[in-house]
Amino acid sequence: MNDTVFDVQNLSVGIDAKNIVENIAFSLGKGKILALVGESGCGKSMTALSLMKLLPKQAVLSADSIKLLGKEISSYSEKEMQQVRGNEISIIFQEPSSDLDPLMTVGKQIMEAIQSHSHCSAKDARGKALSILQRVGIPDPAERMKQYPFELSGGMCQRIMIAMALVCKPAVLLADEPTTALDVTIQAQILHLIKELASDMGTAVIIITHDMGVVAEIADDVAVMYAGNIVESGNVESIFSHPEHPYTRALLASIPALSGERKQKLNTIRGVVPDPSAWPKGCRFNTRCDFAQKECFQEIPLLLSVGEDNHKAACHNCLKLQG
Amino acid sequence: MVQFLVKRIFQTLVALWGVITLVFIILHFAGDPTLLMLPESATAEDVARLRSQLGFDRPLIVQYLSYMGQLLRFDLGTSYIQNLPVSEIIASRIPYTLTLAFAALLVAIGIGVPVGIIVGLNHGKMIEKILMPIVLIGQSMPTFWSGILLIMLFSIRWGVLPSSGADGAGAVILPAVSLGALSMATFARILRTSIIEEMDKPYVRAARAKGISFGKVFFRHVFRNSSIPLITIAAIELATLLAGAVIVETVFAWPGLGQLAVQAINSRDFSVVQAVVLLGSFVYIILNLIADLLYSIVDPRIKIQEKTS
Repeated sequence: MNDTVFDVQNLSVGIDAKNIVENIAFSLGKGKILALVGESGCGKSMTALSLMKLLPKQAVLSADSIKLLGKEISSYSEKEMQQVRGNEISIIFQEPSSDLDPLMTVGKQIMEAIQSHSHCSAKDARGKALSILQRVGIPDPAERMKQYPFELSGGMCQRIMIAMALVCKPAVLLADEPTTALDVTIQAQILHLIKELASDMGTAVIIITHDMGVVAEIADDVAVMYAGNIVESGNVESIFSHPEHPYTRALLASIPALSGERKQKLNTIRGVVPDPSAWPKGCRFNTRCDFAQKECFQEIPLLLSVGEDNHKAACHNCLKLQG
Repeated sequence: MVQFLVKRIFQTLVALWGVITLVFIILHFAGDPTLLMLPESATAEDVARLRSQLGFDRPLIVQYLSYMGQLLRFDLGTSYIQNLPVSEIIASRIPYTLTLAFAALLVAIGIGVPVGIIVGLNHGKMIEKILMPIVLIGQSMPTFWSGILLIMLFSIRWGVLPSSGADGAGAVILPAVSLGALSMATFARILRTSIIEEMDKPYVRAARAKGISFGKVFFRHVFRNSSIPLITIAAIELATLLAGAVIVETVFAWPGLGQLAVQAINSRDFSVVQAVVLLGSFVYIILNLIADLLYSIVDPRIKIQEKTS
């Protein structure tokens, strides 16, 4: 793959000498959308922050390699990261309304992002801000520029955040549950906007979500995370059509069906994601897995190829089935 | 906006009326000054004559109404003791009090704000553990004690600054430091808490994600948001400083309103005491009003609430 823009190898995040995210590896082509899926507490958001090198102070990042546009950013200093953040890699978060400074007009906040990466006049920055606002579908952008975050709706704020993230045309956009805090109708609009802009601008997107519906809607590739690990990855068709890992299967089974018997109970996955301090020995899903066998309690399964198109899973049982 | 101002001015007048009435009643129950004004040899008739001269023999309600009448004509009356118009006496003291109050505020902000920023940004670190106790000492030291301490060190031992009076620019330094230490501690503490709180907000992380340096994130975003509570504090502190730093002015023999108030109370110089208290409350109320107006300028969210209410 020559058009790889982002390549991560063996990334881990530790807090108090205990890893909460381990051995994350993926590679992302230009304009591709990767969905990072998993329940709350599985380390998705920490992974996103670590890619921006914006982890909280007590968290430590280690990685064999984080290559962004061919540059090894894992060894970058804070100063070097400032050049990269918002310019080559951007992020949007879950609560757009509180991600904006309440005392500054949204226009100024967008211009700030522009001016921190290019030495352009305020007038040019204003022009760029206006055109990106138009691009993300904000009506009457000149008027909106003068408004404060509290005067805008959540969906509007998320459009502003997207505008701010994309204004410098980054190679990669990280979207950490970008639609979780929004109304369902707005969710679809925002997802489509992200998808459309990504393909127009050639920006690769990593979308973090716990919503399989979102994944099906926009992703090209999927990586399913459980307890700090990627347990299954592959392109969206193969994951949805033949999920291999019991956790992925359970996630897919827990999507409520619109057709069929109404009174059917929703499928759930019993138990909760174990705390990093209480990860079980062997496969971390063994406490909740219906198929767990002796082996699963002893050895950590490796993420190995289970099919075509780079479909990989980390499960002892899948390997057995493969023979 | 206009409606808001009219409402506030009306509230101000009511508050001032309450203050005037209360002070009038308290002072008159504390006794009248005639005995203090006359020599010990004065007879009962002398006292009675002076009382009727000054109008103290009239019923309290009549005295009260005539005083209110005077005030409505912006007449603060005459000092019985100094035999001068009260407005003149007050006016001669105001420059001193203003100088001291602003010098103290300068000390408070000049030291309190940087210290607040340093401890706020280094929450949980060694430097916070060293600086915060010093700040607390500054706050818990009574001014009469810190004032005397400063005099002992700077005037008596080292002889670098005058211990009392208001001659020369150097004279304001010691009283200003002594007075400013209290407010300094308040500024530092409030700012520290506010910064710690703001630093945890999502917009800080989002601003850093734009690729701007930490310094810019701090001064453009965090500091502005953190300093909102300082507006009220600054107004209250300045009002307190202006209303007369009674103790500090006494310790340093600083000829401001605080010292005047003490002298006037001792000699039961009613009209002067009333005027000082009136001025103090007026300043307090006005500064609070200014603080409220400043809020709506600094914080755009507040303006809207006014409109809708």
